[in-house]
Amino acid sequence: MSAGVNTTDPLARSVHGTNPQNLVEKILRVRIHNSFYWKAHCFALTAETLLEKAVQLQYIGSTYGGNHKPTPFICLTLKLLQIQPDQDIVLEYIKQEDYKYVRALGAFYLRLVGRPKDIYQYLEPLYNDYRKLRMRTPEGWILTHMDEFIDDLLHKETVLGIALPRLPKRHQLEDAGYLKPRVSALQDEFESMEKAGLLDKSKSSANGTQT
Amino acid sequence: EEEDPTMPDDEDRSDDEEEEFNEWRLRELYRIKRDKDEREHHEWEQAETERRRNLTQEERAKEDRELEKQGLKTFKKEKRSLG
Repeated sequence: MSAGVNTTDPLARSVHGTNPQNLVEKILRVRIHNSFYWKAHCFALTAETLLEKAVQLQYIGSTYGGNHKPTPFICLTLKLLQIQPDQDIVLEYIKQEDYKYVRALGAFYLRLVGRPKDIYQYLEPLYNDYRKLRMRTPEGWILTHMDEFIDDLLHKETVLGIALPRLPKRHQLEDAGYLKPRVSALQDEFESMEKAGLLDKSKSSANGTQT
Repeated sequence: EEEDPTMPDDEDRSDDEEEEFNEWRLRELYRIKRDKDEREHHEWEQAETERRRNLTQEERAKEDRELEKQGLKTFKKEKRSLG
């Protein structure tokens, strides 16, 4: 493998005390480095030119098919980890509304490298985005939605084949004064339903076991 | 990149907007409920820890016996059974 191409930008900060590329496990990293998309489209990308690739994304995913071929989405994620764009650029990916897969990419990347407070602050507004997202998996296609993807990022330990860095629970950050309680777009509706007793038969219970 | 004919349609159309919104509404209500339950559980746990801390040793032992009678393992017992 030629020197330099797949190494991390020397100016990149370490993230969570490690080289940011190490967030992607070695097996997956090697698959990405050997993929056609990486070799043909990710060489010498900068924060600006990466966006040109990102707007062409057609689905999210990690690897697909029997031979676990890396998706362009996961290739660009690794590229972002390599070049470490300013957070402002990443937030632009997240805030713009024209390209949903660019938004998903920015959200995924922020979840990997962002500070917990920023992760909640910038990802939670996307709970209101219910546009469809295609997800490609080794087992085939899944049609999901942006809000479901965001919920996975905030609640699951592994998303798209990557073990996410530990994220403190929201209430821990609230108790420490970093965040105000989240107010959902449906907060009023929820509270009036609750008052009317419409939610009493819900499957979850206050003292149920937490996973 | 090669075309895959099995790729699902991801276009956000106005004619299924209402259905998509309703599905989102249920997901969002579920999330509010889940997060609220989680928060309440956390608060209950904190209050319970605080309450137990303020008991005398005899009161705690008495409470443990009652819990055991109900078939609930106490923390102390559980710890012992782990070796």
